[in-house]
Amino acid sequence: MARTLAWGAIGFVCLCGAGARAGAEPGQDLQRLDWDQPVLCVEDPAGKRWRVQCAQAPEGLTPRCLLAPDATGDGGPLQRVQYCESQGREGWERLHAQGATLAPALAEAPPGWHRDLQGRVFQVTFDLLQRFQLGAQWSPAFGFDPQRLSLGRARFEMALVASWLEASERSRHTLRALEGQVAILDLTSRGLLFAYDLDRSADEPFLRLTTFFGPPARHDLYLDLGWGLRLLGVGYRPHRAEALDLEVVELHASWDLWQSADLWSHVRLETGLGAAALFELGPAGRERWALVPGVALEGRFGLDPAGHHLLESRLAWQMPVWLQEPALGATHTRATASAAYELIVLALNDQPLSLRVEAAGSWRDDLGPGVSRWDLTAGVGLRFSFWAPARVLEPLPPARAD
Amino acid sequence: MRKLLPCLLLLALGSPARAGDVAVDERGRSLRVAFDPASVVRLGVLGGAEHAGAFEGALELELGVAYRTVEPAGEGAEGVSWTLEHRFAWTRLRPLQPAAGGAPALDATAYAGGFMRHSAEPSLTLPGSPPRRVFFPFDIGVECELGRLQLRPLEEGLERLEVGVARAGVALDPWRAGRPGNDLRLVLGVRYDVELTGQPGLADAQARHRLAPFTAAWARFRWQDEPGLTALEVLADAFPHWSPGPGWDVGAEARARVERVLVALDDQPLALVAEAGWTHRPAGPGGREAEEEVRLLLGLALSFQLRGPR
Repeated sequence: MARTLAWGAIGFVCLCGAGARAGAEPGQDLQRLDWDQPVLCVEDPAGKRWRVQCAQAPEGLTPRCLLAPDATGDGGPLQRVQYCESQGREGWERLHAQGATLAPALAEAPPGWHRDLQGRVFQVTFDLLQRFQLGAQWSPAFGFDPQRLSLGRARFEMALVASWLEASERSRHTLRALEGQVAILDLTSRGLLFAYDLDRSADEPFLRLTTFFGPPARHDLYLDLGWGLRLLGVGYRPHRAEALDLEVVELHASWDLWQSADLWSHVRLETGLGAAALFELGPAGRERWALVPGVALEGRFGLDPAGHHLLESRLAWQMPVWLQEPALGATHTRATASAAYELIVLALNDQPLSLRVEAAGSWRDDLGPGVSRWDLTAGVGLRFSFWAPARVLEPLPPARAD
Repeated sequence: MRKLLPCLLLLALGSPARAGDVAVDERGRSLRVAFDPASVVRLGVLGGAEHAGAFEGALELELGVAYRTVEPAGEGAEGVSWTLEHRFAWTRLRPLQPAAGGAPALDATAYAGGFMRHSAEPSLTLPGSPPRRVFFPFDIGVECELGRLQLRPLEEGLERLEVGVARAGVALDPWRAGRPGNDLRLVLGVRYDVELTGQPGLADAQARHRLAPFTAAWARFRWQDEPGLTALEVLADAFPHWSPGPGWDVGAEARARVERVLVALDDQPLALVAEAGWTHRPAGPGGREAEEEVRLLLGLALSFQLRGPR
């Protein structure tokens, strides 16, 4: 009965996306072998194998050891354990000869993984900056014109994201590729072939300010600068107009106004220049090319150490400068704002399924008459993420005196 | 010239600040706390008012390179040190005031130098039998200036260029502070200037040559504190001169300037600058009357240090 309750508790924890907070699991008071310490494997007189980890005992005292079964509850092999030095029956007898205190425990699990009372291991933290994602949303679209209300709209999406921290360079590289979104009913879509961003944490001050009011005092000012680019972005039927947006390339510099210790979360200011075109579809269609300077304020926040909560927002402004007659040198304005919250609700085969809620708004005046300048969308849906590794906190060592 | 060439070489290579210029705070970070206001690449902005018949707003940019070295020799009573100061391309630019040829009004000096000798026990030797050595209560030296151009602002379409071809004088310093940046120089010397006036253009300008044959005299008082955070300079300059035609006339100038370092950005000091000046310009070619000018300026100057202050 207790085992059944334990299973129920574990299942509940997983479903709530709070596996790391395993305090609700009975037997949680059991100690666990340390993933980073050496492990011995011994065999008791009944032939059962155990994993043992002993703490160093002061001279004259008996060692204290943790003892965990080297098999799952149904007798299968443990998954994701460290190598253990097998000492067989002799090891068991040696422990008893030393008078070691043996405390029951659970076998070790890798960082970001959890082992239950049955010895089964499952991933409980997720790095949502490393995944291949597929999603579907109910995505109603709005406008200030009531006739533009489209409640039956759905959207499908996919993307590949990869991000890694280079601790020696105090930088984080983030790649996005093959991003795509398609909305049905109105057949709008967006795509991006490739994007790269570099976040840096400066360890040298950008400016050293010495004041001479009273005793001289030094104040260091840091500037966490990075850069990024986007290649080949496409938007079909923006604002549901018969047009196609093409962004060939965009290059930007960035300044992290705030960043977390592992550069995973940030508030980032970007400014850059892109080369883009706008194709008006239809029989009288024409194409217009432009240079597009722009600025953006982006926020990305991992709200918990386990990576279960992701909050993203972006506020962007662009000013296409048209390069062709008769509008050579003329400018227009594009502005977008978006916010999204993503919550991992469960994991299937250690692949997280998340609930995503988002809202976005866009204003632009370059699509010609008859096209609404406003486009507002919302979205509620699920996103399935493949190959998201465990979220392991790797804070950079502090490098600033202030 | 033997002194000048090594100085230029040092200037090109850059010289490190000396150990006393740098302090270490309680966190172990270094910060420069002493500067040499006379060894800098200067970039300044000053604004204020000037009065030349009527009050007007004034905006000036100050640009230039200055470098100072001190070369001591001997010890004790025999100790002698030379302080060698140079200024290159020192320019005061008035970007909002057009002058001849569409260029902005400016006052630029190609080169200015001051070379002062400080002796611990200065003396004069009187030839006689026997020779006598008597105390001489001055540091001595030389000041010179080559190639000063003043493009005057247009006045009713009149284009004016004043060229200070050269000036040089012998300097005596009764203060004898023996610390660079602290002196009172009383200078007597020669000076040659040319003023060109045209309307329009300077191609067919009328010229007035001015020659001061050891009648140019100026006094320069300078003070700076030990770490070089505060510096003061007061100049009074008068040059009775002779011109072909009009004969003798007098030009004069006086100015006072104080600088105080407020902050340092990456160890480069940013100073508050206050300056007041008065100029009497003698009558010029084309029937121009003598004129007076008063200026009051306040601004900031960033001084990229070329070496330590001492």
